[in-house]
Amino acid sequence: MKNKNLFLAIGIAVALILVVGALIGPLSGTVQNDRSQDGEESYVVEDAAGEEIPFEEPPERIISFMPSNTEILFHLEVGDRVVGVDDFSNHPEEALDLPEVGDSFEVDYEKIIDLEPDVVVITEAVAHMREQLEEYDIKTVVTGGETLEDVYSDIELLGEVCGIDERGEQKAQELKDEMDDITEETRDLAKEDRVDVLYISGTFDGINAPGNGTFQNSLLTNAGAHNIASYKSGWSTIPEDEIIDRDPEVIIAPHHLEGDVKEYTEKDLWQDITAVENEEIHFVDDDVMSRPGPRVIEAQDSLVDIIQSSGSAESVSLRGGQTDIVEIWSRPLEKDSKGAV
Amino acid sequence: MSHPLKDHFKKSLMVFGLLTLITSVVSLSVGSVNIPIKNIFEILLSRIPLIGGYFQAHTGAQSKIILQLRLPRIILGLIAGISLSVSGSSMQGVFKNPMASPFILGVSAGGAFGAAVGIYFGMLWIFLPMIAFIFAMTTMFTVFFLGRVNGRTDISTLLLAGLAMNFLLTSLTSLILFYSDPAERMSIVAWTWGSLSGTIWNEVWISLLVMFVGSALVYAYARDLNVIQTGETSAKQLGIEVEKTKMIQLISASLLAAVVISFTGVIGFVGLIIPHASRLLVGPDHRRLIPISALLGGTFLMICDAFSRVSGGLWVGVITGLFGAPFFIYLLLKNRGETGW
Repeated sequence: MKNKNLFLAIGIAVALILVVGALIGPLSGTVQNDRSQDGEESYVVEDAAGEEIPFEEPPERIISFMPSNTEILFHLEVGDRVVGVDDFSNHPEEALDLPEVGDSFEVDYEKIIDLEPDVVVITEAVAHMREQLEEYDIKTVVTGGETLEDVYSDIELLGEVCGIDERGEQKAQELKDEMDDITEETRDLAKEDRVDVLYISGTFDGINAPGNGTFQNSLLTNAGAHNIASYKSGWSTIPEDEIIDRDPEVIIAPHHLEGDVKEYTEKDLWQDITAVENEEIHFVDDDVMSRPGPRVIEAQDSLVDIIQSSGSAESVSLRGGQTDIVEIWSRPLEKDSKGAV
Repeated sequence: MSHPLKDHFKKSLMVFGLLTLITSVVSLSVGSVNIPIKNIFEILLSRIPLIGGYFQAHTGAQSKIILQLRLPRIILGLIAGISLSVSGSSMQGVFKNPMASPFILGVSAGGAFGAAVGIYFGMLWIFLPMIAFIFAMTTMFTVFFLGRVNGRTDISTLLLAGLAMNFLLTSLTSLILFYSDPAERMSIVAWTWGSLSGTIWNEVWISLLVMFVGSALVYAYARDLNVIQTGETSAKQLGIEVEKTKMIQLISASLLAAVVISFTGVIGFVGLIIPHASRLLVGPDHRRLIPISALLGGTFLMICDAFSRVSGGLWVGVITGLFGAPFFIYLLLKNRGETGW
């Protein structure tokens, strides 16, 4: 009986090995693409991660992973080459009809492989995808997608990738010129002439704000603001006591946070903040403010508009004039009338 | 001699062996891209030497999805299910308690913390299973010695020690999470919950090797473990090295759990309910319990992972918990009073 059991056990072990082996047996080696080596059209692009990516010919099938990349590709007029996008790419309208391949939270690698892309455009924030996609012999290009400078260099980079270097440079330059135009009077303001602004980018576990090094910080600075979150670098949560201490004159947030922001500004704790006192709380388009793509121009435009038409900016520019006094005195009155309601 | 459970064992072995095979083939057809079963068979069979030539070879996306994405993932799922279940069977045997499992005793959390440390310091992936094993084994023996009262294992002290270690290590993992880059953060989160997403072949090879070594050790000392269960004093009189057997069982169990966890993250409940369910099917003899646990565990995890893929990336550890906990309660209710340890 004992021997029988032993044989049975060995039998099972062998069967198990066979099952696993049968599944593993067909393991493939990596499929090599033997493209003709013309050498004429082939080119190498250095991406934002410093990687040199060779192209034998301009990619015809591109997957864009990140809304800003999608917007840049369409801005470069190569939208027809985009065959798939991430779940959040919703601009321009054509992107809505394209197959979706997941988000940074859960990438649908099956879909990506199935779309047979020549290249997948990702950003530094999801750089881990590169390693995974290399596993499946899929080429990746990493864009910066972080700072305002990245917007220009990403446009040039994706131009290079698509084999339209000149158009890329031109589009980047155009955008830069336009940005310079609308910020001409505001970007070099002295520190004391700037408006203290809090930009609320999220309300996850407190007030989230873009600090130094983010493109929102650059947009705010160029619009004549002093971003009160700029004492931190990158994205972070700003404690409420810091906000009260730094006393923003204007608060700006994307539309989808209207409810959340109201909850904060209605708190007793926030009533002495100048922006709350003066009702300088403004809401802007979610997408244009969060995507380092060609629509930064729209974001820049609305920020200049909000900041420069705020009471604080006016009182600054009218410093020393008679109306200045009126400005200052009219404020408590406004607050009183509001408080009486 | 001819115990009814013995016939049951053979039958169970065949049924579950077949079930494992069917499940692995069926789950190959599950995914966001629809690939007909016929194509899957052709892709697999055409890769087998000698007979491969008789089948249509598929190239391109479908073959890549099957061979480089689904197959390694499913096989790692199978291996993980087997390893965790064998690990659980071994621990339950050593501690003579059905509550013992790598998850409950904090061994899984130890492995996960070790791997988190590895990821945080940017270690090469090959070192992750090693550091995970070191931490898992350290946790195992800490809990083991904490649970020892007057030279005997006190089961409630042991379980509480496991609970304490679990909390401590999970907190430490969260601490690392808090201080890590957002890009690394995602991967740490993914495997505090367990995920088979993004499995590569190299991970399969290593965990396969460990699965065979660990299971073989556990199985080799299964008979001794059976005798120890009847009483340590009588086992010693029969010439069995009780402490050595226990050590080998616990080290193997830690190894099995840790290596899998370093690739997949903490997948709970498999090591708890599978050995328990198997014991109800074939009785407490470890020579029968271990093979049945292995087959049942492998099948269970493959099914849970199929759900994970269909759901669009819900962590597999969440699914094993959702299935596992109610099933465990059902077993408790159904067999209340009938099957003592």
